[in-house]
Formats: sequence, structure tokens, C-alpha cells
Amino acid sequence: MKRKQTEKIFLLIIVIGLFFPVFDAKALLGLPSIGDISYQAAASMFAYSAYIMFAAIGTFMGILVGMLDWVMKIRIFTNIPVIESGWKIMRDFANMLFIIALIVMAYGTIFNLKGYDFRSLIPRFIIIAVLINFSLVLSGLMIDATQILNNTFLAAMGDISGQLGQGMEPWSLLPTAAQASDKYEAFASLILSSFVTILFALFLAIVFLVSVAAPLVVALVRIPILWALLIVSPMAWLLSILPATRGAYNAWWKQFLGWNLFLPYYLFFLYFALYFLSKKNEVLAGLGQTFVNDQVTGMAGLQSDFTFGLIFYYILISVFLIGGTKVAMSAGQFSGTGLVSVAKWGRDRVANRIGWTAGRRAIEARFKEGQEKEEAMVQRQTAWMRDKLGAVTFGKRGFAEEQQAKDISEIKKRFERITDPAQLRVLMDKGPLRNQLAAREVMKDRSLLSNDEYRNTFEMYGGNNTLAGRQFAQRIDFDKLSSTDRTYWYDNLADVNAKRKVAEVMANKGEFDTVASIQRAQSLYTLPGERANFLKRAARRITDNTTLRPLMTVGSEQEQLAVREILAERGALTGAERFNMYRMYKDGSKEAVDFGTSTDFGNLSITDRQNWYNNAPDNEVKRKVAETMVERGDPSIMTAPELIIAANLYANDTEKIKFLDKAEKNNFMASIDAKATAINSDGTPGLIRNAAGVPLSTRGDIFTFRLTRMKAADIAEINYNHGWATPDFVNAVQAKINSLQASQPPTPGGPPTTPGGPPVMSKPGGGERFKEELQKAAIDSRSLAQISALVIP
Amino acid sequence: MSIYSPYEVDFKELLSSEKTWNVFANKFIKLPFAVKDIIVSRTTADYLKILYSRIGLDQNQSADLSRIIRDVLLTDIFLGDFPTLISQKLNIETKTASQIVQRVVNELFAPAIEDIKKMQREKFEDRITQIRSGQIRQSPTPQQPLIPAQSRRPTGLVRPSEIVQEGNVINLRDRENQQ
Repeated sequence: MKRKQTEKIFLLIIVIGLFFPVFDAKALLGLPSIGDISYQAAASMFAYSAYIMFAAIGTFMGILVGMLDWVMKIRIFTNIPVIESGWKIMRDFANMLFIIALIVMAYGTIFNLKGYDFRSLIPRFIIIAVLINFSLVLSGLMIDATQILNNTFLAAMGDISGQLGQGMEPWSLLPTAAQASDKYEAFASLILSSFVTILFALFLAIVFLVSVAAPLVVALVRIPILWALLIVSPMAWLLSILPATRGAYNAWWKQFLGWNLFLPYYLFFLYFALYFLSKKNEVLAGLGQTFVNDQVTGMAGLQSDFTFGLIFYYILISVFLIGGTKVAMSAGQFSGTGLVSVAKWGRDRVANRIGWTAGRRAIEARFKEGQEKEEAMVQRQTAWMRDKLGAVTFGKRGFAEEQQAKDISEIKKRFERITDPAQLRVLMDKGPLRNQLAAREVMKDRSLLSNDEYRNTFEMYGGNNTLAGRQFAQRIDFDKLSSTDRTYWYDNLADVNAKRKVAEVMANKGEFDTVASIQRAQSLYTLPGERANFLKRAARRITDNTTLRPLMTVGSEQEQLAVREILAERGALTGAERFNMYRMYKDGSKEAVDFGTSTDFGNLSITDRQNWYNNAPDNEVKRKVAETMVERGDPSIMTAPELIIAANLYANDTEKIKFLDKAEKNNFMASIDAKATAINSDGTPGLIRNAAGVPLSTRGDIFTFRLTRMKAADIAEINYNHGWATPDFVNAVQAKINSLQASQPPTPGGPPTTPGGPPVMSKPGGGERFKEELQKAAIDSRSLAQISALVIP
Repeated sequence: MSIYSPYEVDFKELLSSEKTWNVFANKFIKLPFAVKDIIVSRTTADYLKILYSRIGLDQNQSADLSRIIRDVLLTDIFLGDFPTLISQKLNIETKTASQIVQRVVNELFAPAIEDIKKMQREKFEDRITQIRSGQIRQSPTPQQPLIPAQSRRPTGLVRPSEIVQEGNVINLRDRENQQ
């Protein structure tokens, strides 16, 4: 703590001191004498400090520019002895390894390994065996080709160091000593203007420094790397033979091209940067004379030539220098080489200063640098910079949060490698906010966050007031929380989408136990379909049907249907209510038909069934009702004319017959009459046809036809009033018995075939057996009496 | 109508009254299919005819035995009373009655024996419990007839009212009380 306070005081003195050289203390403060002298002394001290600092930066930059000029002009000669000898060693080694490749091919051929057999590999093998001896030449040619490009730019640019050194003079923006005539009134504006210009000059100096340093490093490093790549080129070519090692060959090419192409790309942008530097006046003129000469507000008369035009000019140069370096790296396919990290570091070092509005933050960050890991530091500062960018992107709400999300996502990838939950838990409360949030995201993904931690994380994101907070809430797996916790979120979330998510989980788990609570949650939805879907889920958990019933008539039709569907599934709807529900669906729709046909008409009253039959618009539903009605023997349908009407709901004669067969049990006579009189597909009476295909259109014919095909059990079960009570029916059955008895006469019994053995039992005739079956299957006493009265001939 | 068929032995009498018929028919309809098969089957009549002739029963005795068998199958008579009842009604020795019962149960009732036992257990649960407790008390002495010897009538048939459960069996021969 004490050290921090000391640091703060020290920083304050430096900041104030930096302004001393700018002002004439006597004029400003009106304090001549000893104080005046001491002020001048302190001012001079800081003035020289600032001068030394900028002079050092300038000198250092001059050195860098000179080095860059020198490095870029270095040629990577392929005929350097050390490369050639190194390459020869590698080539000889690679030639030895061809034997291994041959062995692999042999095994691949023996074991029939796809891609490793002789036929697949031999063409490539031969080509590589030849080309491997030219690998240095071919690679050298490529280097020379890029060097031609380099030379083109270098020739066009001329003296790079001279141009950069002369053009980039941000310190020219530094304020000069000024007289403040209005004493205290002018003091505030002086502080502001001086501060801004000093910072801007500092910023530009660092921008230029980095924009020169980064390519210098890359350009310098590329030379030994390219040499190394040239030396190992025979091995890379050799590795291209086998499929398993081809990846290494591709990686070699990626590196080789990447390092080769960096310089042409960079020089291209540098060329433009230098071009603009050399055309300073023309660039400024192109911006418009008035604008260019505008002094930055509040700084006129007191500062250097700090104009909008100049700011624009230097930013333009910076964009080309930094942007050029970045594009060159990206285009050079340096991903994963480590170079990008270096570049990012450089970029962020610059970028994190863009938004600094006060020296305090910059210096504070510098002190913290020593305490935090570099990577986390870069991320934090980058994110902070983005926040500031977000703050100035007027009208684009959430920009900063969007950037924050990206940062967190990046950090999260790093944290995902941590498998120990305890370690993650430590990170949840340690380090920059983004790190904490990233750690919490990882914990969330692993379902390791407690509800309190969820709440804290939500608040850390900014809660309901931020997009990030709302998005976090939407990502919570509410299903895994306790009922109490869900209720908390439901009560406290402001974001509709997140709230809906909680509500849906609560609905699925039956945590809305009152109609009022369901209706409140429903208000989260606007579309009737959504409201209905929610209602259907939530209301399903209310087991008391009497509570649900009032909702049958509340809300949109879809909502009403949702409630009715629940009640219907529970069998809690009356036949009339079920029918009304069926009518609420669109006529003929799949939902309507599915619902109608899923109805258990057997459980409805005769009146309800009749209502469905009379009023259902769908034939499919109507057919199902009719089938139930004939099976149950509903009187309204059990007449021949009604049966014919119902049978006509079916498309063909076979289906009509099948339907009428179902009516036989309850009204055999009516069914027979309907079959005899219904119009068949030929337009003539009689649905049933004999073997010759002739329709049977009389009751007797149908009787004979049917009874000969019916089993005894089915005949026995025919309703007495509409079957066994009618002489025609009994006579027809008797005729069948006679016929069976005649065709299958009884076998008489006899004495034992062996002395003392069992006697030979008689075997009843076919008619007798049929009668026995009828007796056993009879379902009422009257039918049994009729059956029993049948005579065996 | 065959006197050897348990179904047909009193068929005319049964059909003569709707009430009587309904009582019989409703009992018959509710029987398991295998039991119904024994009652109505022609094979049963043929089997009993041979059995009766071997034992030497006359027409009346044959008809009585067919009735007893019918009543046992309709669960109007407790299976435990089967030998005693045969002995009393047919006026034959208990030993012979037991032999008849053994053959009928083992041969005629065999296809439906489980159904018959089940029906008997359901209807005569108390009797069965009583017999079991008696067996435990008196074991290992042999089972005694349920009807005491001194109460048996030496001659003549036992009246149906003495051997059937009230309300379960229609005495087809007690025409005076019918209708």
C-alpha cells in the first residue's frame, strides 16, 4: 500500500512537472521572487526531462529505421557455402531414407494398405527421387522471385531511412512555452491543451516506433529461418512420398512461402507510407485548406502547429505502417508460427494507448505489468482499449460488450485446458474481470457453478443493464438449478428471452402451480402460438382438472385448444366438449382428423356418438364413429337404410362389406338387408358377389353366403332380437347344421377291439359338432335355447 | 333327449319354464369353455353310457347320476359331497360310489379339472376350510363322510333340498313348486 501511494505521488509530480515548461509562472501566477526562481528551476528540470525522453525516442527510432533499411536490402543468397554444405548433408541423409520408403512400400503392397502400395507410391517416389537433388535450386528460384519484387519496391522507395526519419516527426507537435495572459482563467485550458498534445506526440512516437520495430524483427528473423528451411528442404521433399508424412512437407511449404512473402507484402505498404510521407503538403492540401489549418479547439496561440490536418496525416501514415505489417503477416500465413503473437504484442502495446485520456492509467498499467502475466495483461489492455472504442462508436450500442465477449471467448479457450476445477475456481475471482468471467464461463459449461456464483457472474457482466449480462442469463442451464433458484431468476431477470427460458423450464417441471402464475408467465409471449405452447406445457402440471377447466374458454383459440388437449388426454372432456374441441381445429386438417380418430367413441354416450356422426365434417372421423356405433349397436344406425348410408362413407365395396360385417353381431338381419340392397360399384344392388361374380341381392342368398363362412362362435354371439329370434335366421342355421351333418356324418361307436380294452367311441357328425360349438359360444339364455332346440338330423 | 348327457338329461323340463331355463342357461353361459364342453359334448354322453352299463345302473340311476354330474359341473354341488350323494341317490354302496367318482373325476373331468377346482374353491371356500381344519385335527384318521351315517336314508333318493345349496340349484323334478 505504501509503495503504491509513493508511486502515485511520484506520478503526480511527473505529470504536473511536465506542464511547467509550458507556462510562464510569473505571468500566470503573479508570484515573483523566490517562488518564481524555484518554479523556473523545476520547470527547466522537467523541460529537459521531456526533451531527453523525446530525443531518446527519436534517436532510437533513427537507429531502427537505419537497421530496417539495411535488413531489407540483404539478399538471401542460396550459394552461401554453409547452406550448400548443410543442404548436401541433408540430401545425402534423405537419399539413405529412400530405402525406408521402399520398405514401407513393400509392406504396404504385401498387406494391401491403401495409399501405401507400390502402384500408388512409385510415381511420386521416382519424381521426388529426382527433384530432391534440385530442391535447393528450386527453393532458391522462389527466393529470387520474391527478391525481384522486393527490389522493385526498394528501388522505387530509394532512401527509406532518410524518408522515414524526415517524415515522422511527432515531437514537432509538442507544445512550446506560452504566455498566459488571463492568469487563472487560462490555466485550465492550458493544462488540457498541453496534456493532449503531449500525449498525442507520445502516442505517435510509439506508433512509429512499433511500426518500424515489428517489421524489422520479422525481416531480420526471416533470414536465418529461410536458411534453415533451405537446408532441410531435401528432407521435406522426401517426406512428401508417404501419406503419413505428407503433413510435414505441407508445413515446410507453408513456412517457406510465409517467410518468403512477408517482405514483398510489407514493402508494398511501406512504399505507400513513404509516398504519403514525401507528399505531406499535398496530402494536407487534399483534405481542404480550411480544415487543415484549423487549430484544435482551445489550443490556438498556445501550442505548436496542432491542427486537424496534421492529426489526420499522422494517423494515415500509422495506418499504413501498422496495417501493412499486419497484412504482411496475415498474408504470409504466419498463423501458429509465434510471429503473430509477437505482432499482436506490438500492436496491443500501441493500441492500448489509443484511448488513454490520462497518464495515470498508462503508468498504472505499466506498474501492473510487472505483476501480471504478459498474456493476461495484453488481453486486459486490449479489452480496455476496445471499451474506449466502444464508447466513441456513437449509436452502436453493445460494441464494447461485443468486443468483451470476443476477449472472453479467447481467454476461455485458454482456460478450457485447465482440468482442475479448484484451479478454475481460483481464477474465477482472480485477475482482470475478463479472466474471471472466462473462468466462470468454463465452470458454467462444466456445470460447476453454484447458484450464487451464477448470480455473481451475472452481476459481473453488468446484470440486466448490459447485453452481456442478458446474454449470460440466456446461456444459464436453468434445468440444473433448484426450484428456488429458478424462481429467483424468474423474478429478477429483465430480459424477456432469458426469462422465457426460465419460465419454460419451470413450466416443464411444473413449478407454476396456479392458473394466475401461468397466465403471468404467458404474458412473456406475444404470439398466440407461443402462448399456447407455453400454456400447454405449464398447465399439464396442474393435476386438478376443475382448476384447468375455466381456461378452456380463455384467450386465443390456440390457447383454448392447448388446455382442452390436456383435459382430453386425461379423459376429462365430455363428448360434447370433445366435439367442440374437434370443431375448433381447421376442418379437414391433420390435427382435426388425428384428434377425431383418437377419440374413444366407445366411452361416449349414444347421444354424443350420434352428434359426432351427424356433424363431423371429416369422413375418416365419421367412419370411426360409425364403426363404434355398429359395434355397440346404437339403435339410430342399426337399420338397413342407416347402415347403407354409413357404408357409403367407405370408398369401395370391400370396405363397405367389412363395415357391415361389424354390424352383424348387433343386428344381423339389418346387416344382411343392407348388404343385399346397397348399391355396389357397378351401380346394381348387392355388395356381396358369389363365386361367379354375380351380386347377391336377396336376404336368403346373403344368409347362406354369410352363414357358410361364419364361425360357430360368431353366429352364436349374434344378438337375439336381430338374429336368433327371427325364423329366417334360425332356419338358415338349421340348414347349415343339416348340411354339415350330411357332409360329415357321425361315426358309430362299437365294442372294444381287444378283449378288456376300451370300447370304440362314436364320433359326432359335423352338424352336431357345429351345434355344440354354438352352445358353448352362446351369450344369452334365449339364444342358447334356440341353439339347443336345433335338431341334429 | 339322452339321459346320459348332463346337458340333455332334463332338457325338456328346463325348457318348459322360462325362469328355470334362464337360471340354468345363465349359469351355463358363465362356465369356462372347457367345462361347457364336458356338459354339451356328445362324447360325454357316450362315455357315461358305457360307464353306467359297466356299473350296471338302470335308467333312473343313470339319469340321476347324469344330473349329479351336471350339478357338480355347474358348481351347484360340492365336489366333496359327490361320492355320498351318488351313494345316497343311486342307493349304491359308498365304495362303488367312490369308484364312480374317481373315474368320472379322473377321466371325464380331466380336461377341465383346474377350472372345476377353481370354481369349487370359490363357491365352497368355507366347506374346504372346514374339511382342512378337520383333517388337521383328526389326522391321520381317514376322511369321514360329511353326512353322518345314521342320518342317511337306507332306501330311496335323498331329496334335493337336503343336498343342494339354497337358491343355487333348480330341482327339476319338484314340479309342484315350479311356476
